[in-house]
Amino acid sequence: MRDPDGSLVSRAKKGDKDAFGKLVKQYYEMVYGLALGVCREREAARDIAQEAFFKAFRQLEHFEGRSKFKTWLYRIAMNTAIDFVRRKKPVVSMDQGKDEYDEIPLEAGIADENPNPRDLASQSELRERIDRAIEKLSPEHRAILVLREWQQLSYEDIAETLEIESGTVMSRLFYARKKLGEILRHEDEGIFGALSDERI
Amino acid sequence: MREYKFEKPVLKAYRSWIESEIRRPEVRREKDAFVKTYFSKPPLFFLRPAFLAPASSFAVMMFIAVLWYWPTTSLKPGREIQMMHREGAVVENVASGDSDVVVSPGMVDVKRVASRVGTPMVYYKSNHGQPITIIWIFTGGNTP
Amino acid sequence: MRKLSFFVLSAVLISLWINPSLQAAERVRVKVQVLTASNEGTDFNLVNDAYRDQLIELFSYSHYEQEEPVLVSLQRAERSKIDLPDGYELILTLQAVESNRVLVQALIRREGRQYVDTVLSILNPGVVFLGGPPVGANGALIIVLETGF
Repeated sequence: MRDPDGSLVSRAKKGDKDAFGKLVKQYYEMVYGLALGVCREREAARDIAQEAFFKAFRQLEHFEGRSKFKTWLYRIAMNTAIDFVRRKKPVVSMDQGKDEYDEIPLEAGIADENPNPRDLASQSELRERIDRAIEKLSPEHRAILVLREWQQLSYEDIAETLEIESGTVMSRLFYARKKLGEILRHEDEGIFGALSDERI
Repeated sequence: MREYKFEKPVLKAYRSWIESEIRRPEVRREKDAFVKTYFSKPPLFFLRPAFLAPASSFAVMMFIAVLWYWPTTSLKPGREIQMMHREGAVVENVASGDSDVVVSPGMVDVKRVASRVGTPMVYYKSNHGQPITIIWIFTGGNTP
Repeated sequence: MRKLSFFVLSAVLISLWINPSLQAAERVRVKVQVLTASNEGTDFNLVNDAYRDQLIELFSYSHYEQEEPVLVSLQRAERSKIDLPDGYELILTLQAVESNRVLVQALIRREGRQYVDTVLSILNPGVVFLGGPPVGANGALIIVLETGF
């Protein structure tokens, strides 16, 4: 198995911080996104991402190259994020519209070529509901969801990353998707009519 | 199986949310700052503090030793100190204990300060001759 | 005598020069002192009176509560988190160690909101006060960071 990062990893293992810096530049957004999918808070996601890279740097001498560096990094990031969420008390769902620091348009998350006011309201509502649903998931379920639905990893890769059985991956993924889908049962179906090609 | 029809837009929205978050300019800035601070190339050996500090100390000691052995140079430290005391300029003002006097920051150099919830202010005060640095965040209503 | 003093000093400096660990030490100890200040009451509940005079002179609060000080060992590229009263957190990160100064990032935050984010080059030994995050109705948090332990 050829690791595309092999050369940089070899140099970094010899203490070349610049080489490790290049790896950080390459994977920062990926690790940040994984962390965000698990913890749902921007500040925490940043801390988790940076902590994950610190850990990777410190443990690099133990990386033997049996898996790709990216896979190894996934594992460190997920463990760090899951540990973080387990340690924290339950938090209020990320309220991006109200915090003056986290000031982003609520409709930024969903691409729509010609959004009209009804669509924008629907999209922001949908995002809030997705966030509320994710909040109800355990950190392990959130981890599987982000690895599968965002990173598009195979069941085998997810199992290797989280060090669980493939069967466990499938059952947890089924549960996480079902939980997300449940938000639709009590909602106004018109919201999804604006976003989906399929209509009831 | 109506619920599975609606999973698609929900999962699409979920992916879009994460994508939009990682594309924020702040994330890129945080990444650049992080790499620059912790994983950038160290300076050349002879420019590092580990070399410069003792090397410059040694050079200063050599310079003083030269002066010691050849006292006919123009610098006369003893005479200059007497002049400062006579003029009473720098030493007495710093020791006055007036907490509103801003003295030069010797002990703490504030490289950067920011706050997301208020206005940061940096004070350099003198407390019985000892410079004290205070960083205070004004969030509206709290006065130190 | 002069020659002897000169050679002794030179030997000391040369030994510092060839001993990289003294100059390149990447572990620093910082004492963190947490105080809560307010104008409710006139008590100085300080574990010791070391800060009393300074607090009276520097701030106009009438009441101070002091927690037990914490000695934190900072290592480069590692964050240290200290829990503060009222749900605040102090995150310290050692960024660099120079000959007689330490470069430290200090972050005070609560519930994801960043109250202070500062990078300080502190003389070793040295002291700096961070303050202002509100506590209670009209109190404030004051953190004293001291290096040189």
